[in-house]
Amino acid sequence: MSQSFQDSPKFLTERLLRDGYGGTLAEYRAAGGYEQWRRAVTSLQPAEIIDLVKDSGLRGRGGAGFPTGLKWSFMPKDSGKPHYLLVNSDESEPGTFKDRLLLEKDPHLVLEGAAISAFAIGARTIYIYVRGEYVYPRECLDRAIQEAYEAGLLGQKLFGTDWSLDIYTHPGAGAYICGEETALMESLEGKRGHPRPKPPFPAGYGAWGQPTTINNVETVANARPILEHGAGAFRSVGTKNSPGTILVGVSGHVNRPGVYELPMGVPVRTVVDQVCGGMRNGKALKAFYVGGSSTGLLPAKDADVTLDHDAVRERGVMLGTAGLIVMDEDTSIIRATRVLADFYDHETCGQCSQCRVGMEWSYQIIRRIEEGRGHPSDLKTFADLIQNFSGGKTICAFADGAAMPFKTALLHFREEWEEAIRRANPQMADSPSEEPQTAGT
Amino acid sequence: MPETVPITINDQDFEAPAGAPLIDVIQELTGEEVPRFCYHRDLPVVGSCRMCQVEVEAPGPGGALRKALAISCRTPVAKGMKIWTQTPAAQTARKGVLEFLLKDHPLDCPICDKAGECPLQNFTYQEGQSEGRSVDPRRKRRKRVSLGDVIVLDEERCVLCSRCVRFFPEVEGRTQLQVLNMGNRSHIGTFDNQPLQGNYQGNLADICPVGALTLKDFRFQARVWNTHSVPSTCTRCSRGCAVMVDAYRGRLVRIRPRYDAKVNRSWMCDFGRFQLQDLNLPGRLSGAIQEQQQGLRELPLEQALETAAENLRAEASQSFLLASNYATLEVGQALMELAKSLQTEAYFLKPSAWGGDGILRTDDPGPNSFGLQELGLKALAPDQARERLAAAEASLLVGEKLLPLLLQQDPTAGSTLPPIDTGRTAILVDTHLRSGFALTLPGLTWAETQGRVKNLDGHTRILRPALPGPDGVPQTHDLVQSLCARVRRDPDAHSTPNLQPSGMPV
Repeated sequence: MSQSFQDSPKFLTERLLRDGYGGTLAEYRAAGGYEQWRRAVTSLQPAEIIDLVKDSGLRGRGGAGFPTGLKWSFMPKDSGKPHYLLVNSDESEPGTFKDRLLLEKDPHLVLEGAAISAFAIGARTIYIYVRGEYVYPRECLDRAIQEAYEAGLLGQKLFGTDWSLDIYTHPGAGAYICGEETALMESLEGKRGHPRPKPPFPAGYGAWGQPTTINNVETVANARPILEHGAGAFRSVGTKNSPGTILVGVSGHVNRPGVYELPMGVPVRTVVDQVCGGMRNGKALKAFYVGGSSTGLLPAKDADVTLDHDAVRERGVMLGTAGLIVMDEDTSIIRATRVLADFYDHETCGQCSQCRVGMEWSYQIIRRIEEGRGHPSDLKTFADLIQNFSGGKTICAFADGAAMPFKTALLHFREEWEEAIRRANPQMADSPSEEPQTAGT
Repeated sequence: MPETVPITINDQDFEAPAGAPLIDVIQELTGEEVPRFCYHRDLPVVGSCRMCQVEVEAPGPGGALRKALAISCRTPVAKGMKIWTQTPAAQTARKGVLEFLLKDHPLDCPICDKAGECPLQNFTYQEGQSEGRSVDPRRKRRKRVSLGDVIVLDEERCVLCSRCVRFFPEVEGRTQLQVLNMGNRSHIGTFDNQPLQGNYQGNLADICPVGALTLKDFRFQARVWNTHSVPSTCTRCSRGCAVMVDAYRGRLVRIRPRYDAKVNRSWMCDFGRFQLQDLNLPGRLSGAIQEQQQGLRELPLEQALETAAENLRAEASQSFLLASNYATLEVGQALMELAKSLQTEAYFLKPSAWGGDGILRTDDPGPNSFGLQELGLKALAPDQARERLAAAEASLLVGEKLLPLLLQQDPTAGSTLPPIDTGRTAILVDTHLRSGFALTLPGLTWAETQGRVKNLDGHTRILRPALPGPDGVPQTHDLVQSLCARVRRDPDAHSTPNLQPSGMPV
């Protein structure tokens, strides 16, 4: 389905592209806002909405790309317990800043989508967990929530039915790990943001031990256009396995960085050259992180990859949150990797041994190599470390996420690392990776 | 009993209780101890150290068999599960974890109290992880952080398993320690650096799987491989916690809990743990002493027993026989025999309630009130006992801590006791010489005693000697039996074979 990106519908951002749209309740309602919410409560069954979302093929926009309708269907029916919808607005992935656009510019879309999602899973309470640094976005959201309450769109006995819904925002305190869904729940409950072991899964035992679904901001926002335009219209955009549009946040060395709503399946080359006006200062593309740092990077020769789950997976990386970080020919991959390693070292929660120590060790190795003090054994050790902390050996996916940029940087830019080590060890004859191991203590 | 289901461990067939944690099942069925740091059988499971990984094949969510690494502490036994502990994947995963844990470990085993009984050390040997590949300098952290009167923290050795953090809420019902900060900057500490409090701090040193939390009391006192350790039972209250008593060069250096599912699980209180000063008291009585107008006179034990027997026999049913509730069942039994021979009653001192904490420590000082009562000894409160003693023409007092408990004094305070009215002829069996007694026979501490006690819930537990008593001092129950034989004028009374110096089993 090679649709040109210009013609593709803008399910989420069509209002934002109009001049003067301020995102107030009046403006949002003038554009058909909250009609789908009313329709859901007054004339749809939760199961119908879940089926509709399943039919649309919507996949989570928070990074893992799990089918949203399927996730909703895991929620128990008639559990007799309170259900919760948690909207994950922690958005802390390096390179990802697309949810912020919706929170600031069209908060009512997020609220309406979240409300519909909550109705589908039987939740009468929504917590929107907003990244701590997102002070302004949270203010926008809080203002919108207040407007919606005042207009009778939230609260008790909505639209003359027995359905009620409350929405609260909850600020994070600055930890990246709290974007991990189980850490988010711990944090929401007022505890340290430590990921919980799974099972139990949130649908059975989530926030405060109750059935809980955690969805990304962009995921729930898509609930409105899917109800409004139908599953078919949604499916007509994007690819078979990755339908719909996706908010692509482009940063780095392009002329026009920003958030763009693009059909799934658009090639990275098109994003860089056409959407973002090409590389800054006419430089050549060197590499790009596909969907936020934890998805891994690809070299320029892979710029033909299309932004959909299957295509990027074939290249050994992940679509993640489509936070595209573009790097030009002057970028040091080692330095870029070191900056990320510093981030992961700072943000690991420290529960699991491998992740806690592995992040710092990785950072130490990369920093030494960057500073011209690389050791002949470093690349072998580094590769082994990555093996030892990744591959599902830890409680959550943090270490696996950190492994992606490390692994892909080593894989695609091997010569750059080897060259740095050779420079630091002039006596070395051959490739550093062939060097025998030094047995230290 | 939970349903048992078939599983295989390392391709061997077993039956295991469904839902039980693999880590325990593997150890029970095969004897193999899967390495672990955060897992502790008596603490909530967190599964964070990732050390206990094994390979498990089980049906996945879709029903298809899935073989993957899993932490054995958080994986419950399920029907048809196949477990391998020594596949290359499992070994590599565990070695990997160890390499991370050892990366900044100071390797100061030669000066570490934990060395020799250190899970980190043992598992490192067990898993064959001998290579360190870090070329960066080891991290410096705080080496000596006082966490109160009992525990000292070495942050460099800590592996952040969080056992100590989970201990307090689990056992005491309140949080004291926390993991502070995050990532590799994490460390263990208390809020606002407050010292640890309460009667259970010592357990931290036992559950810490490395040398990060050690006892100030045991610091640098002995290498554990040089100590002689004996399983015994703590006697400081009627709980009767199972303990190990560690002796080094003729002194007791440590008491620590031993697992007992029915009594104390893995724990003991600090009141029981820190009683070594009482047990290592100098000035022990090693022979019989007679108090006469001319002064003190040493008597050979046989002669002293004969004298004692004559005194008791002379008063017969007017004699007053009193045991402390430290007396073992064997001593109690011998006293009952003696009472029968004298046609009188045997009593035991039921001390005043003292110092219970609502967790393990009860308010009954002494281990055997329940057992003595069951044997038929009659309970006497301290004031009643003192009256009887003062009025008695002849009396025999047996058992550790009897005098302080009789005088309602702190039994831990040592030997400064007020005088006591002992009537006409009082005979005492005790560890130290006391004034006011016509005859004092040498006794043993519980750490030198062989015998049984019965705790408040009726569980019989064994005392074993961790140290020999002073030369020539027999087990107290043998002493009382011999006395009984002499009172009865048994023909073989003079050759009681058991009246040998006590001693540790050879």
